[in-house]
Amino acid sequence: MSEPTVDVDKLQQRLARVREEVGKRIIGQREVLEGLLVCVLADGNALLESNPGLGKTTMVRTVADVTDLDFSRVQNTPDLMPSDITGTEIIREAGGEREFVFERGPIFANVVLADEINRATPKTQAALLEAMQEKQVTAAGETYDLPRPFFVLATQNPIDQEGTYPLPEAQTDRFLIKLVLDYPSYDEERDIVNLYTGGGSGGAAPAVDKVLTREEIKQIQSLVRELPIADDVRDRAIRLVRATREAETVDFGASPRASMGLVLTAKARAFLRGRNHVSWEDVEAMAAPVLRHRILLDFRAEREGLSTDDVIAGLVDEV
Amino acid sequence: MAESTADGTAADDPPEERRIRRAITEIRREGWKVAVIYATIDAALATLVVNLVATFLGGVPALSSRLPVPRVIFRTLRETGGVTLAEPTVSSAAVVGAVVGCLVFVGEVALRVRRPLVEQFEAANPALGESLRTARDAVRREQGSRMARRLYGGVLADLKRASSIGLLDVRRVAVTVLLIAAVSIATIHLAVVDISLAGLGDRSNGVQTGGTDAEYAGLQDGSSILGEPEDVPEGSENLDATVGTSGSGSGDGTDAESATAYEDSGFGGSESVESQRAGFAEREQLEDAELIREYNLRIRQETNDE
Repeated sequence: MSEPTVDVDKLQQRLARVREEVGKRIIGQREVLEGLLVCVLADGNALLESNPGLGKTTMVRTVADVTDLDFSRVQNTPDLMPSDITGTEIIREAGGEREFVFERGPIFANVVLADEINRATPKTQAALLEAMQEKQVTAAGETYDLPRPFFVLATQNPIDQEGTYPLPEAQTDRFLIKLVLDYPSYDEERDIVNLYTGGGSGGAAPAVDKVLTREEIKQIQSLVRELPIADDVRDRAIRLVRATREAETVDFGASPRASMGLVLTAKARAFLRGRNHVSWEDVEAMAAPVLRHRILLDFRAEREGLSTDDVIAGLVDEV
Repeated sequence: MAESTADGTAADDPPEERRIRRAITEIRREGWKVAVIYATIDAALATLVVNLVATFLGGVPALSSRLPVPRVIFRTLRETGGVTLAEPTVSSAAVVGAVVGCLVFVGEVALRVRRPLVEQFEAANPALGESLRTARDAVRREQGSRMARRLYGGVLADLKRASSIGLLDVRRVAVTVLLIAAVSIATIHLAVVDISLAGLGDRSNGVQTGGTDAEYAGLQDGSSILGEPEDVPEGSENLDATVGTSGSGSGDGTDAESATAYEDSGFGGSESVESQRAGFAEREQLEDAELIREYNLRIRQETNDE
């Protein structure tokens, strides 16, 4: 079977343009943006954690805007039902006859922002995560495929945990990466204020161009999986994930799904950076995003004041 | 299974994979060359150092002796090149040096090629290392995907710009060559000056030892220099020849005359030469003279009696 001819250079240039366009609206947060794009290229889903007001929604919406992808947002609340997300069958009258029609929910979009996912009930969370994993929705005995590419970005608020339902470890494992937004620097915050409070834009977000089509995204996702990786880099990545299961400071280690995710995201990052092979630097960079939500620290790590990222950095140095 | 060609490539490989395989073969060849270069200079240095030390420690019997050159070599040299060796022996120190050199050469080559040569090349070219390693692994897995082919193209382009000179530590090679030159000069100097730890003790007494004489024993063997005796045709002309003599032999010359004679015709009559002559006068001949003298006296006495 002959493979379609694609201009890889052109696609990589388009990705660089995507970053430029997103940069028109998002000041700073370059690593988070890179992680987000990596997640799109690796055809995965991301868990985004930050305090309120750091531009999570703006960032995801901007990525959707520059990539010609459908965008929808789900604000999770305790009274949100699974059918509110996946869709439900309703009775519709047409030509004097009544029939059940499946009304698609907000999950039928290319980019779904599930805000504060930990505020939804476990039942709703399960429905969302199942759709995310299977890339399809089953309602009233019918299975509906979700549009491709499909990308869920769920956010969590690390503060104000009252009345929340923290995601179980088994559920968080389904997210390819977890990105943590930190507060911007002083200069960045000043630029943000100037950008969104200046008279030029009238307070609206700056306009961005669509530079990447969904077809091109699918091609890139296919190319990313074809990206070669050296045996030693791959083996080292696997050893890193396995080390999380044997480390003294880790109570619960990462699964083989993490190994796959680490290699895949490293490939996506290499592609994003215009390389034709995976470097150990890619694995190092993706280790924390891929592993931080998949491991539980031991009391000894907590006693020593080590964060999850500290432990992962230590393991990266060891392997 | 694909049919393999001489350079390890499979006949039905895609062109990029085939070129990568060829490039890897070429890199291995370069690695061998570098290993041989290092081993050669190190072996040369080892040979010279052993030879130098052995010459200096001339007192060790095993090193000071001379070993016979096999007749086959001797004959071959004479027949092919017309070279006739004055003495068919070789210094045992030189033989030991050569053996050590050979061992160093073989050992170093074995040691250097033990680590995969391509990995050595990757280490010497870190900018190319990761991509080349990835390409090698991809070729081994026969990965012919679009990105793999793109990688192969990139690696081949990079290889054209890369150099295997990085495998060679030029400074180390230069230092070794300088050492070789220094040891060579020292060896020549030692041979000219003829310094030996073995001879120091005896020479301090001012007495020529038998051991030193033994070094010249071979040169006194005239047949080995002149070859087999053969008949010389008799001459047909008679020529008158006059041989000049110096004053010293006459017994009536002065010291000044002797000096003048020495300047004109070289050394002519001294005690050392006389002792040399005495050395060649065999005892049997002296005894014969006594006998002749005794016989002469008896004949005279008998004549007088008559």
